[in-house]
Formats: sequence, structure tokens, C-alpha cells
Amino acid sequence: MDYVGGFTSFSGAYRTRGVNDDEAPRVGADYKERLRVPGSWEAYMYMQGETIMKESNHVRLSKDKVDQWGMPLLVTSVDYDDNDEKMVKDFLQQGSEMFESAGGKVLETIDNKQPPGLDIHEMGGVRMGKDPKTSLLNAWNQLHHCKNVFVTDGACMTSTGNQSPSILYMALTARAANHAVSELKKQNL
Amino acid sequence: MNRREALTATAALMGSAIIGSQAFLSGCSRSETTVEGFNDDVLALLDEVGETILPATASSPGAKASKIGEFMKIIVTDCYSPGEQKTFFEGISVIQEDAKKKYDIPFIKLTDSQKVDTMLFFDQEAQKVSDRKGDQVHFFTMLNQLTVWGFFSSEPGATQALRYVPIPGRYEGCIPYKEGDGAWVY
Repeated sequence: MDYVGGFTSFSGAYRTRGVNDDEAPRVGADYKERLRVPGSWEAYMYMQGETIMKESNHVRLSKDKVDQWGMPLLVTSVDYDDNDEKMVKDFLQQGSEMFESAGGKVLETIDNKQPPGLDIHEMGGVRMGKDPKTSLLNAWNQLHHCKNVFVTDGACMTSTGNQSPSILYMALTARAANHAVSELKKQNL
Repeated sequence: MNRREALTATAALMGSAIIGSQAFLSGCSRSETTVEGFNDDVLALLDEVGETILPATASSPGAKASKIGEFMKIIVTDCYSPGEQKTFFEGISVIQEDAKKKYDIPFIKLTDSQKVDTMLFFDQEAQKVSDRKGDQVHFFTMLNQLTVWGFFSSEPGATQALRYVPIPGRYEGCIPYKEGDGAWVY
């Protein structure tokens, strides 16, 4: 393998709806009956890939654009790189091999070249870390510079992994909320 | 019933993009919110056209029960480009003139088999057009797409022609299928 990081594969099978027949008329009772029943079986597989963190992926304040309250807009600058391309290629090949060794026939492999941000599980932007010079959140997901603000969604992540992260965010949130309440009771917040 | 997913299912079924789907999915609204031409007579005609394409059968009601004319009005008004709208309305005129010429009565007054023959004729015309790449879409293709999309995502279509379970509950990996049972709505 010529890339780093890993991916998770998701797979499933289903029946399409309707029985295709290019010769038959597209009018009438037979047509309707053909359309309403289950059609052929198909299977699919897709990946969730780990993108390696790099400094060039960043968020910054706009130098000239502001919102309706005069606050600078946020510029989010992220992109995939060579490592991601190689991983996608590897997945398409590995996935095809998996289907073929299970006796399937691969009809098509798709790299939709979708830019980051159009899917799910995006992470980063308000990263956790020990040093306020290179991070924004402490071990409790608290902003270093403003102790009564907690960020516990994907923005707090410093690396991505390839697993679905929502339950992790729920755990981080419960943990941060618990800490916030105990700090509040001590009147530290 | 999720009309976006119905759209994907319909496109897969038709083997081509559904006209109006881009505008529908991006939620753009057109600058004119009403289109002249959807009067009661036209809606009645569209109901009959829809019913001819997808008629009531033993399994379920037809497109008329799903108020297909009303659905077509919304999609054509909100999601069709001006050029596409023009083709659509020209098609309605063609249908009306054809009935007058062949049978000397309005389309909605034709017998069921006369209506089927009329629509089959336009279907064949549309098939010839779609075989030639780059040609303008035929109005029958529009009516066909709208009827299939609108009917199978409507209440009678989804609950009677197809099978609808709003909360599927636990996963069952294997269930029996009886020939002729409808597909599940998703």
C-alpha cells in the first residue's frame, strides 16, 4: 500500500423497485403492475476514509467580509490530497475483489470526486490540545481563552479516524457537561 | 414519504434524469410563482392522462386518485425551466387537438381504450425522440415521468400500490415474498 491511514467499508444489498423492460409500452395496467413490484437484486459498498491532518487545512477569519452584525466571516479552507486519492483507488479495487470473491459481478465503481464538506463526519477547526498556541480546547473541551465555552462536536477533533464518530461526540459532551456542572458548583465558572 | 428519495427511485426506474429534478433538489424557486394555463380544464385533462398512464388495477387505485394533475402543476410551475414549460403546454394542446381530429370530442370524454391508444401513440413518438441524442424532450416523457414520480410518492400510490411501513422497527434479514406483492416504500 502506498498511502497511510485506513478506511471502513459499508455494504448492503437491496431489490430495486420495478421491472425494467425497454420494449414494453409506458402506458396502462401492465406498465403499472411492472412498476410496483420489486425488481432485480443489487449490492453496494462505500467507504469512510481517514484523511491525514495537515496545517494547510485551516479556518481563518475573512479579511474583508463581515456578517450582518459586523463580525468577520469564517473562511474554511480544506481539500483532499494525494494520500486520499490513493486510498480511494485502493478501496475501489479492494471492494471489487471482495464482491468478486463472494461470487458477485461488479457493474460499476464510482469516484464521485465530491469535495470535502458535502458528506458527513467532517472534523477539526477548534482542536483540542495542551498548548494554547497550537490548540483552542483543553482536556475538558473548554476553550483555553474562555472557560465557560465548551465545544464537543467534530470541530474538537485533532485527527479523524475512519469510524462513524457521533457516539464519541455524545460521550465527549456528557463528559464536558459533567465537568461544567462540577466547576459551576465550585464557582469556577 | 420522502419525495427526494422517491425522485432517486424514479430516476433509476426511468434510466434517465427526471426533468425538473435539479430545481427540485436545490430548492430554488422561480421568479414567477404562477404559470398561466393550469385552469380546471387542464387539470382535469392531466388527471385523465395520468390515469391512462397508471390506471386503477386490482392492486390499487390509479394516478387520478392521487390528484396527479395538481402534482404536475406544482412541479411544472416551480421546477421546470421556461423552455420545458413551453414544451409541456404545447403537448397539452397537441393532446386536445389530436382527440378533436381523431374522435371529434374532447380527450377527457374518450373511452378508456381510446385514451390508451392516444397515449400509446405519443409514447412511441417519445421513444423515437429519446433515441436521438441531443433532441428536445418529448412532452409525453414529461407526462410519464411526472405521473410515475407523483403517483408512487402519493398516499394511494405509496400505501396501496406499494407497501408502506412508517416505522420499520427491528431489522428482519429474511421475510417471505409473495409474487405480486408491492415493493416497500423507502
